[in-house]
Amino acid sequence: MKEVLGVINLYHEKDQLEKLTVNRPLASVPFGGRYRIIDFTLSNMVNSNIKNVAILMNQKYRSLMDHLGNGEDWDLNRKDGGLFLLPAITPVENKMGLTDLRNLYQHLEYFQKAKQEQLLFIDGAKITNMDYRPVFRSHMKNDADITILYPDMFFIKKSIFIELIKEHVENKEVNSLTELIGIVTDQYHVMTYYYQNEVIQVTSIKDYYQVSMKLLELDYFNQLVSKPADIYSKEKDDAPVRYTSSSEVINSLIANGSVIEGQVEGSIIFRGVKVHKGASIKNSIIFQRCEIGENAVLENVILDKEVIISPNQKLISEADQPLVIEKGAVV
Amino acid sequence: MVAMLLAGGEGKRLGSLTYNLAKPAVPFGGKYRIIDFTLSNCTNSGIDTVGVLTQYQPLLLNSHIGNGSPWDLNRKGGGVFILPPFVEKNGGTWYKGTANAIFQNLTFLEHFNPKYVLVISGDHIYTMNYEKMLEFHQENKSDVTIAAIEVPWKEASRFGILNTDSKHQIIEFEEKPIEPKNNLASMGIYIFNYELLKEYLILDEANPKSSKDFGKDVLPKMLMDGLRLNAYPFDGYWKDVGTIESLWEANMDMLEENPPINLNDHQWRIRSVANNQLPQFISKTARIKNSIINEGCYITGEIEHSVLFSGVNVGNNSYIKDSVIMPNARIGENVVIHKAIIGENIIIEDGSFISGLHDEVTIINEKSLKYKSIIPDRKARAGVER
Repeated sequence: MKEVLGVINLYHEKDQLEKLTVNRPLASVPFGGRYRIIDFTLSNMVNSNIKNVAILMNQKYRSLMDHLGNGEDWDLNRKDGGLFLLPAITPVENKMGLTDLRNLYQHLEYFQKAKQEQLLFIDGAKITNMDYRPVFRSHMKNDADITILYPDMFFIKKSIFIELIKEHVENKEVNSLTELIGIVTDQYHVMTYYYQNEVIQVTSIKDYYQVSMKLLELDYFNQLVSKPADIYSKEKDDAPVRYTSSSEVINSLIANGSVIEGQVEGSIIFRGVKVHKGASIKNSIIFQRCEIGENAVLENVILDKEVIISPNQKLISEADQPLVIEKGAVV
Repeated sequence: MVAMLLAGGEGKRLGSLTYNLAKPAVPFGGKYRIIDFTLSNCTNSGIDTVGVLTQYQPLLLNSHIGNGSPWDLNRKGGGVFILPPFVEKNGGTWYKGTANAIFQNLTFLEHFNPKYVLVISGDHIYTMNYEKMLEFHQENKSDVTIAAIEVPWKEASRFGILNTDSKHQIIEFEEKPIEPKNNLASMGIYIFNYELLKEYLILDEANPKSSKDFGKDVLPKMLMDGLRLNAYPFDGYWKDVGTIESLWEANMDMLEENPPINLNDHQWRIRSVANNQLPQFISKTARIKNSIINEGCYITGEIEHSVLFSGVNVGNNSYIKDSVIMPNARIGENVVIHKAIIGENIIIEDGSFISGLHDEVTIINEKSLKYKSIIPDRKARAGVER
């Protein structure tokens, strides 16, 4: 699929995960003990042999840039093609992303210069594992202008993409390219392809929590990140996990760099987390480099990165309303 | 300063672990290969040009090192260079000794023309700031500095011993002395002034009686000629992992409450090659104490005081104690493993029992064999305490 330019549009992502998306885009939210949501879409593109990917970002792009680097971990550190990050030129004027098309218009030169003649346009990072090649073959065989795989995911001829953006850049009735295509569908040869794989929607904290807890069924998690192909993420040099004489871990995912001296049950522990002696963590999600003090008790919580829980602190919440603690907080 | 890392060793005493693998590529510490420590020491010491001299079974070592980027050694005008023996117009030979190996690569060194050359090997586990050693070398206006460590007196006969004066200047070498006069052992880590190194390597190469070794030939000659050799005292952890026993011991050392090397030390990171693994999964029936476990593992059994590398599966009701399980080994159900090293990709069938007869370390590394009971004796089984 080297004639396809992959485009991941994060421009009008919403802050749908409250505290977790205050300072980062949804695409950058940590997931499954080692991934970020964007890893799925990006890996799917690379696994489908797309060698050139552009990511359109909104203002909260720092953590995403830090995670992606030069694309090396997804095999996108290339002279010919590779990863291209396009930060927003026009700030998002309101939550409905009214200037999404204007932002695409500002980057038009990039698209015009790209040598690929087809685009795979994905609006918003999606948690799924998919090979796009069969869809692309169908798109080409039918000589379609646009082939829609899923809401927010479509193949589109580059010439038509550019035409649409130029024509509708000032159109205030339209919030996104996806919406625009819905409107102009009669004017073009548009096909749809029925996509059967699961696409995991994460539109609320509750969704995020439930989806995460499901990953503790390891067969399910393994399937999600390896079939049909492996999902890649940024590699780090953290040491293997240390367990001491007081460790008690049951039914949990533990990432490297962590030191577990306490109890962990039914939880996801990201990299570099320190769980002190006597601490108890149950049904929770603990992001990178948190520190859980001695004898603290956590149940049904989500801790963003670098949170410090003081000794003896108790944070107990309900499974259908998990408590979220913002990044860097000291409790 | 350019570093020359001698990584050609076979490590015969590691038995089957080095049949297809050079010693520096042997897995260690749950995640690393032995050479990762020396390479990381170079990067952390600010050395960005490293020649790695390979010879024995280099394939895996070469692919592990690659272009050096895991250690930040993929650099313009420097970086890591793999230096195997090579043929030129006048022929070529395998490396005949530590000194000959460097001699054969003088062209490489000439290209960089450094002021100093650091000679190290890739078969010890230790952390050291070579920059500080260089400062010591410069302060003492030495011609050569040799890093040295005090060893227990009863072990001194196994080492190259350095007899020094009160100012750390070396006055005598004793190679494996029966009655050592000192317990300061050479670590095989040298800093040379490049011009002098060149001169003496050429001299040594021309000497038919020389065994082409630094410790036995070049350094004693330099001393005899009145050059200034100093011992740089080192007192951290330094472990030669050249035997099955010592490799096992070094892994066990990492399990101490305050391990001799803190693998989580962000100020001195030990870097290695990662391979896209899931975080480890610890199941409902697992019990883990005092262990180090790497990503990609799936644990349903009991692990006590052991080191598990990536992708290891441990089945239900199995019990692993005081052991080292290398990458992607699969341990079945109802298995008992005590004081053993299980090699990469080895499958241990359900119900197996593995333990040494006399408290020695058992090594299981033959893929063609399926392991059942190593010790069928029931008394021995009862001796493994939970």
